[in-house]
Amino acid sequence: MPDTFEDAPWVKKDSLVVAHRLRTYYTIRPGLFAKPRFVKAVDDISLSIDRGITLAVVGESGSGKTTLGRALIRLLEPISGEIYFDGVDITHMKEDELKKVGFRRRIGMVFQDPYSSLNPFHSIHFILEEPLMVQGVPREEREERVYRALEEVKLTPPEDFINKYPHMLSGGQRQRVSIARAIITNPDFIVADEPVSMLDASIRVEILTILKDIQQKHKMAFMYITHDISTAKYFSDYILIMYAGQFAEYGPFRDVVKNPLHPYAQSLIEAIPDPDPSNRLRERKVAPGEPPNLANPPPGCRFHPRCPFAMDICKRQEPPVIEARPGVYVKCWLYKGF
Amino acid sequence: MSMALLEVRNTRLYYATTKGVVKALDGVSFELNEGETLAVVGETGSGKSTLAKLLVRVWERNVTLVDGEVHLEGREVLHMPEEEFRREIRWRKIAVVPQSSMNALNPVIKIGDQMIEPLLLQGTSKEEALKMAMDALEAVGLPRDTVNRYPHQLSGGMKQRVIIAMSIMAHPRIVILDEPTSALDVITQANIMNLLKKLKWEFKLSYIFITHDLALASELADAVAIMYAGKIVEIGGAEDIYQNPSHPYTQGLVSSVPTLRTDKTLSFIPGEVPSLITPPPGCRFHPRCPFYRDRDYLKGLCDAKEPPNAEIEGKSLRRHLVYCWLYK
Amino acid sequence: MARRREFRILGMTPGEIVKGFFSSDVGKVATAFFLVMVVISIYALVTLPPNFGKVWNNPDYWRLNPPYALPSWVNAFIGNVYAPQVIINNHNYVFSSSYSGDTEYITVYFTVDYHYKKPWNEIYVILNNPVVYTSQPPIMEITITRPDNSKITIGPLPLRSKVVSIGTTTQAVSQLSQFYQEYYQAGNLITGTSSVTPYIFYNVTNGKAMPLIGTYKFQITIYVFSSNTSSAVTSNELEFVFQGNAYGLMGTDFEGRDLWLGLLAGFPIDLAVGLLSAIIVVVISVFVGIISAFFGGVTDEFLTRITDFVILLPAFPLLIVFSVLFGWSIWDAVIFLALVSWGASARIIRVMVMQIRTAQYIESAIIAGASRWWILRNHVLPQVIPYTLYLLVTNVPAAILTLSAINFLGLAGSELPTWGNILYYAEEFGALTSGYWWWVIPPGLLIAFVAVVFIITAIALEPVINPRLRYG
Repeated sequence: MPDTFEDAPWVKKDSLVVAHRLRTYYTIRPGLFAKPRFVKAVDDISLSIDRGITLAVVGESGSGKTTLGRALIRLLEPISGEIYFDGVDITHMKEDELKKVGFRRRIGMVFQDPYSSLNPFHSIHFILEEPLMVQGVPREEREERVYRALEEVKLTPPEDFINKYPHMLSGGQRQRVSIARAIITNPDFIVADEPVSMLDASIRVEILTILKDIQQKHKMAFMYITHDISTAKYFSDYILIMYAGQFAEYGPFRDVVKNPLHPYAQSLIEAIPDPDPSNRLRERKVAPGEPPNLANPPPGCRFHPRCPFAMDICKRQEPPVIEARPGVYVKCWLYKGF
Repeated sequence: MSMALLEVRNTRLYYATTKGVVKALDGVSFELNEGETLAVVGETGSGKSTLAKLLVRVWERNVTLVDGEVHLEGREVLHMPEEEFRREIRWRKIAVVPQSSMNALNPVIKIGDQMIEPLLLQGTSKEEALKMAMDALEAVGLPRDTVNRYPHQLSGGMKQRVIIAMSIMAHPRIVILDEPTSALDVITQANIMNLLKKLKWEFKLSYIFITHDLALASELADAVAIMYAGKIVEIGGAEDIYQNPSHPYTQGLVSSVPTLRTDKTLSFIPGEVPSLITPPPGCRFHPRCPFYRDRDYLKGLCDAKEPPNAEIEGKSLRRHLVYCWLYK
Repeated sequence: MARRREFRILGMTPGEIVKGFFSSDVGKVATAFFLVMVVISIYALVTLPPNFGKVWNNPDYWRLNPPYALPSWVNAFIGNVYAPQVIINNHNYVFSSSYSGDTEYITVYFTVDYHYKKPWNEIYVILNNPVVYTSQPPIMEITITRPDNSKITIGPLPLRSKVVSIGTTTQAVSQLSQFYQEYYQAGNLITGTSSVTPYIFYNVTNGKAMPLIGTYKFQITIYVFSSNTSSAVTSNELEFVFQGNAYGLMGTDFEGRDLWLGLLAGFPIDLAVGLLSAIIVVVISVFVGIISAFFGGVTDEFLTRITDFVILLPAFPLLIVFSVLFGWSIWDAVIFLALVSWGASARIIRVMVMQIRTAQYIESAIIAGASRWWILRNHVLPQVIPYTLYLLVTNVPAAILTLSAINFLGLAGSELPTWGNILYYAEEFGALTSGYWWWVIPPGLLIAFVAVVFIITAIALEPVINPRLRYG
């Protein structure tokens, strides 16, 4: 039985990526003399991702999923909680320390927008070379790795692409370059932030297939951030559903999606249409309203204003995380007695 | 057989760019019956947004060719004088909810004032116009006093409801929805789709629902038209299209859409959407078509002549047409 | 497998940049005009002496030119009205010199064609031998044979200085009076208040003086006393200048200064002045812009406030005040102008760098472990540096215009003939009201022309600099 945290029993301490009670805040100043307000973008999230495992992090806008991804790869520093990478506590390390333990080399990120994630003034060759140059890899080796990365994302023949510039490629091709750049340092952990949502439907499958193949080949830990659960189904093992910066539900992907427990998760899954012509004849039963303003979230359970099952206690107190089924964890008062 | 509410025949729209003439719409024909929702599904570069612009006759200055016929309730409206179209058709009979339109609300003007503006311009009194606006807001599930609020006080979903209210205010016959939910969260999207369904039943609206999302289209569509590279490649009743996709592109599209509730193997369509300046000769899909690749008898046909439409037996009342040589 | 990579700036090879620049019509026009400007400037630098500023401001140099003179090509349009400046030297005359004892006896003979309505103002005799003036001045006699075969004799005239004007001497006045009285009974026409030289070329018909067209033969005899052969006057020391009413390509100003030379000198000077000011502006703004946007935080706040302050400074009024207070030269004004004008450009650079800094590809670089300096060197600078060229080109016309305006007010350096200076004197001497159009219009046009050339060049550069505008 792997070591877990008492207050977060779904987190396996010996996983490659571990987050424990992570919180990030950012401050906004409505005016020069107004009191600064704190926006709790990520509010008490714990998770673990093992090698070869994909965790889908699902939520709508303002759920904090993108901030969570950025926090895990230390693009920002959390306010409280811990992040462990391969056993090392990297929560508050400075850049030079991170570089020393080789953290930067072992992680990669794929961004959502294929148009702004590549510098339009750099050749594809340089874009791919850059991470290696920063790591100090000698030139011969760099050349070889650039070619191999292009082959892995099926941009072949590589010679055709290395001298091109981003504006000469299509959206799908650019996204593949982004992926190639993320994997070129042979990372162990990749965060993909909505990697296909800006691509056409017929291209998405191709990109997702490439990501899946890469993951399986190199046994990488993967965090797949999205609002579109249907694509997540394609290659996720676990799912974490976030709402207004907080934990809502977590468990094995198919299990949670087939039988969602949290009312928000139920609405989320119910809201997604499958291509079925009989859809037009019925109304979807989903929660009304929209996600709250994170600068001023509702007290108690943040979902209570929209929740069809809201009870009195939901308005006053934040619910605990409960293992409602084996392996499935929900943060909801409905499951208190389990 | 009664006349269709909207008949579009052989419409073409070309526009000029520095790289050449883009044939955005190249011979698009379809019908829309009263009370029916037609979903126009296509990816980027298919011409679906251009179709919306054509139907309301609002296009950019570099348009070089507008051709074909559009009959609304029997009347030809594509070549009607602009003044007449503006007075009688645009927004009165055909309304449009353009893409990202919730961002098009003027942030410094009250919602109410923005909503009644077109009515005032046409001579309606302010009282009457406000009443129409408030009725419309109520119909979309917003409180009547929204007329006194400013756009920034509303959430994204609420703003989209305001836009929808604006489009139905004059009780049009047809509402064109161009990706109405693209910037919205999934749950909000479902709520908006519920609203659109309700309005459809309540006001007997006919929708032309433009989207790239085949699954989302099924939420409203009675009929579906699949567009590719400026042409319609398949059109038919919803049941026929979803259960019996016949054009190779439609089949590719259907199998590339992941489903949440059922399990299926996904496949993708290799290749890229073609250039609309120099589209492939013959059938525009042939360079990416798996059948063309595998069957020799199609060579010389698909790459040379544009396929005519073929009718396929189907379940729904609407004719199921495919523009593909496989069915000839 | 090594592959030779093409050299690219801004994602384009140098070939593509040049092609992009020239493909537009604006680019072609801009290049043409720019080349014209550069060629003229080089020509000016080559043909004018390096101390031209001193020459320009030395009245002696221009004394022989007619002041307020029209350009001589005006005659081509309005017929032969104005007699142009004529110089008779050893190329045009016949010279003979002989000795009798210690007196040198020189004869010079030449002819001059006169076919204008307005005759020459004055005839100057220039004898450039320093020795001859030490004891007794040389004596000169002039005999003019006119087209109607009448003869006028003027002299004996003592030549007391290097340059002697004939028309104002008492001998000339009285002798011409007598001549007119004898021939035309109109001796009273010659008043003697100004040079009488024009009357050499008139005859009197019906009581009015009219030009006498034709060939005039001049025979001049000069006696040089107490001279010896070693210091004899030679032909290249003797010159006669007929001062006309029209001069040169661009006319003259109040001091008879050749405006063609003045305007020509203005090319390299105005360009240098404008460029220098613009270069200082660009250097400061790039520095401030990059540091401000790149380091953010307090540094950014601080530098932005300073930038805002600089933008608010009224450049022109301050320039006027300080030029007067401190008696500035043009170079002082250039530097000051740069120091108060860099605000707007700095803002632009700052925004540019901020946009780059928050782009997603920068995040990728950070994730890969890139240091700040790496990002600065590889992502920021490659975009900013080409832009500075554009910034330079846009700052030059403003500098030239402001500095010309300052010069026009008579401030900041009248030692160099900038176009603004020329306009200053034109205004001072009422050129506009007196109708001296050649003094007013060319300098104004040139200032505008140079400013416009830079602006057009900037417009042509835009698609090259900004990729989004490229395929439009």
